[in-house]
Amino acid sequence: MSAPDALHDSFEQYVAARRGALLRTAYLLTGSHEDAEDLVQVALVKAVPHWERIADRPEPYVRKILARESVSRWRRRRWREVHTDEVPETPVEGPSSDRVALQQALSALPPRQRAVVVLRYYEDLTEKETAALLGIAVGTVKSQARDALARLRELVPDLEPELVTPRG
Amino acid sequence: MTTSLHDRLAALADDAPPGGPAPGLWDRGRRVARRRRAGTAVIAAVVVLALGALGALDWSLSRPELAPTDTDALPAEMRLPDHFYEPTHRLPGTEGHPIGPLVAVLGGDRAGQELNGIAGVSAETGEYRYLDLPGYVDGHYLSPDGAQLAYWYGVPATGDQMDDGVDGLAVYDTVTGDVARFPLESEHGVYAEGAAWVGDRIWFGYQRYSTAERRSTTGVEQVVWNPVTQEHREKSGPALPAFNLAYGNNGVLQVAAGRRVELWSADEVSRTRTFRIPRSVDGPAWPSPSGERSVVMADPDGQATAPGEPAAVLVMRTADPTHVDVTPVPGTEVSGVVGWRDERHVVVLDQDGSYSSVDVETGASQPLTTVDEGAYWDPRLEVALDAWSAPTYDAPAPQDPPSPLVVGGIALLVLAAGATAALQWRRRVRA
Repeated sequence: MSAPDALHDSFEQYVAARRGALLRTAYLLTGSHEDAEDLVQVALVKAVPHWERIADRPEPYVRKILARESVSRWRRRRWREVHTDEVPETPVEGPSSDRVALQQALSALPPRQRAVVVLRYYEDLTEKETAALLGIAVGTVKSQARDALARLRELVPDLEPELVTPRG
Repeated sequence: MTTSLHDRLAALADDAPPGGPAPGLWDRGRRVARRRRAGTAVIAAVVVLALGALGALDWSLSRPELAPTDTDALPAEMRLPDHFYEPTHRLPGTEGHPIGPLVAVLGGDRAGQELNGIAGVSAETGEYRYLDLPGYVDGHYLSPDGAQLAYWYGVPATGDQMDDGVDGLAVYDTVTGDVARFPLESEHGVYAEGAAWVGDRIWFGYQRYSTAERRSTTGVEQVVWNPVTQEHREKSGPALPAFNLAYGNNGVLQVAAGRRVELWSADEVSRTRTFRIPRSVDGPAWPSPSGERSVVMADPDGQATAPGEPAAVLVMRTADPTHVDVTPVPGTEVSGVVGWRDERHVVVLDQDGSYSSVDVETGASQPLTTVDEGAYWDPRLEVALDAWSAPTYDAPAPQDPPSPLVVGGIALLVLAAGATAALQWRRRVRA
């Protein structure tokens, strides 16, 4: 097998194995099926030119694109889209009221705060890892997380403070 | 029941679309990468072309375009430009590449050297360059062939000092860039009288201050020095009446002084002959190439003229020392006489600041060269005497390189625009 074919195969294997996990994160970041799929697709396509270099350990690079793209896409979109108070897309199978409440609360957060929450409390990354992934300072991660949690508690009152205990 | 935020996020993530293979992403990624590379390469090429064009423009503005002239077929020799331009602030210096022989020198406000910028004009190429004259403090005396430029060197005055510290006379070889020095030793400093070229020798005078306060001097000392062979003769005592009114050829300086003209021998460093003239002259006496006659300026009616006032050109036949015949050149009213174009034509400074060739027999005038107003009023304009007899050519404007700050600023703008365009392009080529 030639080197390009091997790279192609390793990419396809990675996509098959990890696309589901990436979609889960992307869904939390975007709150929409369509946007989540689009975001994951963008991250994977952007990773292709660099695959030879990252093939041994692609996950950090792909997640970095995923996280940063979720923020920058929002920045680009906010000038084009009309603001709406409508509740974002909800699962068709009738989710629990907890999920709806959390999803609405997440959608009320600015994209960077939402990304910090997802990376810190879903991916369980440290503040330092989160900062590196988003390309921001650790202090910014701290302040964004603090503000985001305050807003979430406001919108989801049953979110107990003691249950929000990520890694340092 | 309450659960942790992690668990609630994980539960929400369960609503995400299902994963699995996504065919076509690899090929799409390759296509996007190719488009990005191609677009970036095009933008980089445009930036390189723009910077190249900017560099070429800067270079072309930094060198003169010599117009083809009918003198191009001649071997490299002295040529008289039909116009002298005022040197610009950013005109480059010679920087180790002399441009001599020079057809003229002019004063200019050289960047970083506001008062003492001396620019030279190449006799052969018409290039303008500020001259790098080591230790320059005052004066400049261009040799008749433009190959040498004498000046006073020393230490320029600083702070509350009144006078420059003259250490001697230097001669800059405008062709090789070499500088010969004639040091003048003194305890309390030197007062520079002036200098005049006599062929390949420079005749100069100076006085030594006798006290530290510089209120008195020891009298005029004169030196006739060949800066190439270093031979020199020195003499104290009677000195040239005025160096700035002295011009010579064949080893003899001719000096006009009131109602007499004196001839001074460079070999003897002394006056050899005086002849009286019937009217008081205004300015120097110019010996013709043959030395048989001279021209002076004077009021044709014999009245004294105020300095700078237009006057007539008079021709003196000086071959017979017992009888000096003075003849007015018909119809002349000029601001100055500056030399001879040939045995029959004299070069005059007209009242409008241009130079003309005048037939001394008929008074017929022919325009020769003009001068930028700023350079005309600057007393530092000095044309090599041989240039007045040289063929003229259509002189291009000298180098006027744009400010390095402007060029650098434009280059930075081009780079910034290129970088912005590249970023925009890479963003537009969406995955």
